[in-house]
Amino acid sequence: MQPEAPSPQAGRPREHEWHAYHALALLPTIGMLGGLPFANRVYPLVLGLPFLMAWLVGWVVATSAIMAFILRLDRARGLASDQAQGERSKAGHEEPGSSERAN
Amino acid sequence: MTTSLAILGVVFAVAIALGLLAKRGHTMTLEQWSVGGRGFGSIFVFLLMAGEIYTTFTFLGGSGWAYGKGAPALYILCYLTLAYSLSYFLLPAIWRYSQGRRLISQADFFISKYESPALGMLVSVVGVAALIPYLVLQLKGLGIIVSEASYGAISPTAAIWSGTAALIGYVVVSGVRGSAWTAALKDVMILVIVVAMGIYLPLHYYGGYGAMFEAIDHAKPGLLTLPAAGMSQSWFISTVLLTSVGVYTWPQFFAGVYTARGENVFRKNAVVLPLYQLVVLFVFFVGFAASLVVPGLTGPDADLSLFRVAKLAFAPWAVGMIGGAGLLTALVPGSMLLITAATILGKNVFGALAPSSSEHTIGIVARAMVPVLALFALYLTLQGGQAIVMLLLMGYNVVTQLFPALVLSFGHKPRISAKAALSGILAGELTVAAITLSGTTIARLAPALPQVVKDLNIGIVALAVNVAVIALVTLVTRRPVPAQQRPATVPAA
Repeated sequence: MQPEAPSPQAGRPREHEWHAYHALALLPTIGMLGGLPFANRVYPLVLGLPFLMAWLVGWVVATSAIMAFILRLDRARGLASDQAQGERSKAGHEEPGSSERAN
Repeated sequence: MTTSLAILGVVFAVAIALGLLAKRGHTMTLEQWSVGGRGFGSIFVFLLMAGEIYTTFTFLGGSGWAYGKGAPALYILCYLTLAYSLSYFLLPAIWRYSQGRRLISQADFFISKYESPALGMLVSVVGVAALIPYLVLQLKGLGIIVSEASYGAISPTAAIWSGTAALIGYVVVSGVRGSAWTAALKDVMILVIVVAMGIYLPLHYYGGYGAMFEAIDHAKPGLLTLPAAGMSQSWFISTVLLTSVGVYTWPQFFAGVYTARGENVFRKNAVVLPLYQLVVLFVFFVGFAASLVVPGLTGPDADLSLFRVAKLAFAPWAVGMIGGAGLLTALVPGSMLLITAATILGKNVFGALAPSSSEHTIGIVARAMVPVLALFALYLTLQGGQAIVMLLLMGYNVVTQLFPALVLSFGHKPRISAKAALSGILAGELTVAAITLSGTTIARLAPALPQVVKDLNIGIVALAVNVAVIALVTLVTRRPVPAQQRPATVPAA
C-alpha cells in the first residue's frame, strides 16, 4: 500500500468509502440466485442433501467467507477499525452535555 | 400432558425473572425501554439481531413450509443471507447518522433526514401496519405451541388468549433489556433442540439424510426442487430479492441498530450471522422428515407438522422442552415487535399530534399501547386462517416500500425530495393494499404473459410503482437548488 495523503476532510466523520473490492459483496446474490437454472435438481445428492439445497448452503458458507474477506480489506485501510469506533461513540455520548460547556 | 405444560410454565417464569433481573439498576425512561440506553455491546446487539432469525416464523413456519411446499421453503435461508451481506454497508450508515441525534424510532430517522414530519407520520403508519401481520404470526405460533404441548387439553383459542396475556405481561415488565437477556436463553435452547431434532428424526425414521431425501423424492416427486410454475425459479428469485432488501426496513431492526455502542459490530455480524442462521437448515430437516411420517396436514395446518412429529417421536417431557423453546421464539421477537409498534404509536403518532406532551407522558402512552396492539392482533389472529409464512410475506410487501426512500436518503443530503419519497411510498402501499384485498396475482392480471413473469412475487410490482412515482415526482418538481444552502447537521465532535 502507498502512504495516504492526509484527507482534506479530516476531523469530520467520514461517509463510507467505496473500493472496487466492495463489489465482491454482490457475488452471493449472483451465485446463489443466478445459478438456479443449473442447480434446480435433486441428484446428485451432496453429503446426503438434494443438489439444490446443497448449492444454496454452499453459497451461505461462501457469503460468510466473502464478507470476512471484505472486512479484512476494510480493516487494512482503517475503514473499520475498532479504535476509531470507540472514539466516535465516546464523542457521541459526551455531545449533549459538552456542547453547553463549550459555549 | 401435565408434564409438558409444567415445563412450559417453568420456561415462562424464567423468562419473566430474567426480564426483572435485567431491569434492575435502570430507570425505565422511554429511551431505556426502547433502545436500552444505546449502550449495548457486541454480544447483546448480536443476540438482538440474531434473535430475529429464530422466531416462530422459522420454527413453525419454516418446518411447515418444508413439509407442505418443499424446496420453496429454502428461500428463508437465502433472503437472510443476502440481507446480511447488505447489512455490512447499510447498518453502519444508519448507526452513524443516528449518533448524537437522539433518534429512537425508524420514523425519527426519516423525519431527520428529509426534514419532513409528514413523511415521519407516513413511515410510522406503514411500520405499524407491517408489524401487525408479524404480530399475528407470533400469536398464531403461541397458540399452536401451547395447545399442541398440552396435547389438546387447551383449545387453540384458549391457548392464543393465554399466550397473548403472557406476551403483554412479559413486555410490560421488561422492555428491550429483557429481550436481550431472554434472547440468550432462547438461542441456546432453540439451537440445541432444533439441531437435536434435525439429526435424530432423519436418522431414526429413515436411517440417514441421503435415504430420507431419496424416500421423499420417490414418494413425492418434485417436492425437493422448485416447480416449473407457481413457486418457480422466478418466484424464488423475486421473493428472495424483495425480502432481503426488506429486512432492514422493518422498524424493529432500525430500533435494534440504535442499541449499539459502535458501528463495527454490524460488520462482524455480517460475517457471523450467515453461518449462525444455517441452523435453519435443521428446521427444514424436521419438516421434511415429518412429510412422510405424519402426512395429511394441508394448508395452514402444515404449521403443526413439527409438533405432530415430535409428539410421535418423543416423551412428554421432551415435547415440553420443545414447547418451551417455541414459547421463547414467540415471546422474544413478539416483545420486540410490540415494543417497536408501541414506541412508534407513542412517540411518532401521539407525540406528533400532541407536541406539548412531556417525555414522561409519551412513555406512559407508549406502554399503554402494548395491550391495545396485542389485543388487536389477537382479534385478527382469531379471525384469519393464513399460514405463518404467508403472513410474513404480507408484512414484507408493506414494509419493503420504505426501501427506495431509505437508500436514496444516504449522502450529505437526500437525493430526492420529501414530497417524492412520500408519493412513492403512498403509491406503493396503495398497490399493495389493492393486491392484498383483491387477492390477485400477476398471472390473473395478465394471463398472456410468459410464465417467468407470471410467477414474479407481486410485491415487485408495488415496488416498481413506488420507484416510478418517485422518478416522476422528482422530474416534475425538479428545480435548481443553490449549493451550500443547507446548514451542516453533523455535530462538531
